[in-house]
Amino acid sequence: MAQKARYPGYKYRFDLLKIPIIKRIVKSRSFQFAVIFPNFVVFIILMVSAFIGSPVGNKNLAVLVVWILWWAALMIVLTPLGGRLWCMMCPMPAIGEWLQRRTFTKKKREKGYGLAKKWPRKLDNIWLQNFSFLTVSTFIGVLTTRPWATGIMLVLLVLVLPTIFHMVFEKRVWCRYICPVSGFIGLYSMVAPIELRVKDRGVCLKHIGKECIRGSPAGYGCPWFEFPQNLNRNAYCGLCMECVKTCPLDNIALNIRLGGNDLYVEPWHGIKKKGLDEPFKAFIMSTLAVIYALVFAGPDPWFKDVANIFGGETFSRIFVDNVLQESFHPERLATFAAIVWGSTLVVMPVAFLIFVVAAKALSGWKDSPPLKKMFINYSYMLVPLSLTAWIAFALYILLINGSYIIAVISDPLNFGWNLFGTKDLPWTPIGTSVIPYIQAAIIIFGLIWTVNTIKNISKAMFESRSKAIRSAIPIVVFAIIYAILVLNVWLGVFDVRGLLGGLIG
Amino acid sequence: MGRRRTKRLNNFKKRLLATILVLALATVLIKLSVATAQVLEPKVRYFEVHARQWAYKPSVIEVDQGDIVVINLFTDDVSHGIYIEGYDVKADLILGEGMPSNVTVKFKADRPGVFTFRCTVTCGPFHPFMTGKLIVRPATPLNASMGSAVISAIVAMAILYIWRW
Ligand code: SF4
Ligand code: SF4
Ligand SMILES: [Cu+2]
Repeated sequence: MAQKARYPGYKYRFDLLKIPIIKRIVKSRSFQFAVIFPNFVVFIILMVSAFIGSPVGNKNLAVLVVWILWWAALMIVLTPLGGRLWCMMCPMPAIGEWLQRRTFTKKKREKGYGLAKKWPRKLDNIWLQNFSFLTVSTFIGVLTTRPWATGIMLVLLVLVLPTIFHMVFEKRVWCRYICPVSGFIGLYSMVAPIELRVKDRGVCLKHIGKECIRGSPAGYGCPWFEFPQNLNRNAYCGLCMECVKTCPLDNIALNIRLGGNDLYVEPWHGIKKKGLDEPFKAFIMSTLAVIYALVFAGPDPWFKDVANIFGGETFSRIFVDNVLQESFHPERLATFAAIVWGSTLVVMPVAFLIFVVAAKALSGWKDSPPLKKMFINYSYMLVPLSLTAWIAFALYILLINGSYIIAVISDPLNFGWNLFGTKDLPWTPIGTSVIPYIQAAIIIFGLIWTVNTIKNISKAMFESRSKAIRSAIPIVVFAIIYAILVLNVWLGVFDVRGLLGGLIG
Repeated sequence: MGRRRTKRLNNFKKRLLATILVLALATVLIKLSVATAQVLEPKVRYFEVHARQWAYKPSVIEVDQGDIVVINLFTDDVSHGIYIEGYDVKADLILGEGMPSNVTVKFKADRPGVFTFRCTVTCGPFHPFMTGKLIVRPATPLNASMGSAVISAIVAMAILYIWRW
């Protein structure tokens, strides 16, 4: 009861598995294959088009789909509304998992391929994901503009790397610890209105079989190293539906929900405490939302020049010989890498730490939780804050450059086709006069949502109401500064004013 | 339980009333400020902008609301263009035999705000990110700052609601 009062929890929950047809579908052994396989085919086509399609980034299917459509889909729809829904159908681990199991769909008794080594305990965190994401981010200027670079990335991320990890280690080590997109999907999945949980934890605690982690003839033990009875956040459940199949007591629920407390629950007693890995993921995401906006839509040419680590005068030859020869600029790479790694791993965390120190001081230094705990717990307020900053970003890119996609699907492989008659559609930005208003609304909504999150985090940490409020003040200030910064980057300082002047006057 | 609930509801009504009052007051003030706003003499503002792979020089252009803006676009390397978001004006500067060496866009800057302008001709890998900013200073600065006051009021009210002061 006391626990309940401190975690506001849910306003509404409904178990989708109560609907017989949904339950039948996800319990089917072919379910995950059926959602992964079409996606796998799409990604193979993307790889092919990356290499044989147009060498011009904004005319190449792979570049456009991966960096505009996929990114927007993940940030705007799939993750905020579906959590790890993407991971349910992701093609990256497909080959490895098929090999591990030696089957596409069945549950086999005999061993599959691979060494099935245990993952080292020291690496049981998402630091490697943080680094893999930063590595991709360092090359973002090249990846988003050079089809060959996107092609190499896709080959590595869909064919090579996950398969290697699946063959050396057991289960989905790749997904849980390495995949560069997994970190932010996990982070933002925590606010999604969908969750997989056990119906009644008491039932689990008394149940000796534990088929959900051991596996059974009906399915595999949790590939994500989760123990369903301990799930109280979405972060690392890949929604693979194995436990729905294996649980003999029918104790798994797939809820749609309003509310939820993933951002401020503590792990169950005896489960590993929260570390600094997730807070740093939040720093990375919130910082890069600003830096990417400067690189991709800011007026300062310097950012673009350093992000673009290749360059040279040879580009014009593209129209003559269809080749792109460019020189590599190591000094630009070094500068941009310093910006990406330094701002996310040093500047942002230090700035946040200053505000947390103020929060601790205001709530009474001596009898408040340890600084590290406050630092970790409060950092989760960056989840709604940076998610909305990313939505503002992804929406802008989608509306401005989305028409390129409509043009390219008519001739995805540069064969001169005109499949849908849209081949010659000119570049048509959409809604440029309303985008700033939408962005402003999203960011302000995000700020208000964040303040609510801060309140819940603070309430969960402090018994006393007045202490909770006092300690939250600096964190709210931090959120406001961040929101103003993002508004600034997108709309310009006085545009916030000018914009509304225009709106009302 | 029931009593607490009605009390909370009453509090909620009070706060709602307070918000409506603040917003109404703000609106009146804004209307007043609009009425008192001075009308600036519209000027013709001419800019010579040079495009290169993948930037404009100058990359930030500032004018006053109501100005007639003339942008003359030149290129220092390959074909480029200019499109101004929010104003929806556009010109392509295509290099080639018999093509003009520069192009012009002309429009009235009647909407205040900051607007991104960007290249319209695929001019190289970074083409989709070749951008600059047009800043249109509002003719009614008081009016404009009232706008941000309203935003701040809304956010402040929301914060108060959330914390149930
Ligand atoms: S963690 Fe990464 S590779 Fe694994 S399913 Fe999710 S997105 Fe795909
Ligand atoms: S908890 Fe269940 S649905 Fe989630 S990853 Fe594990 S087995 Fe799959
Ligand atoms: Cu250009």
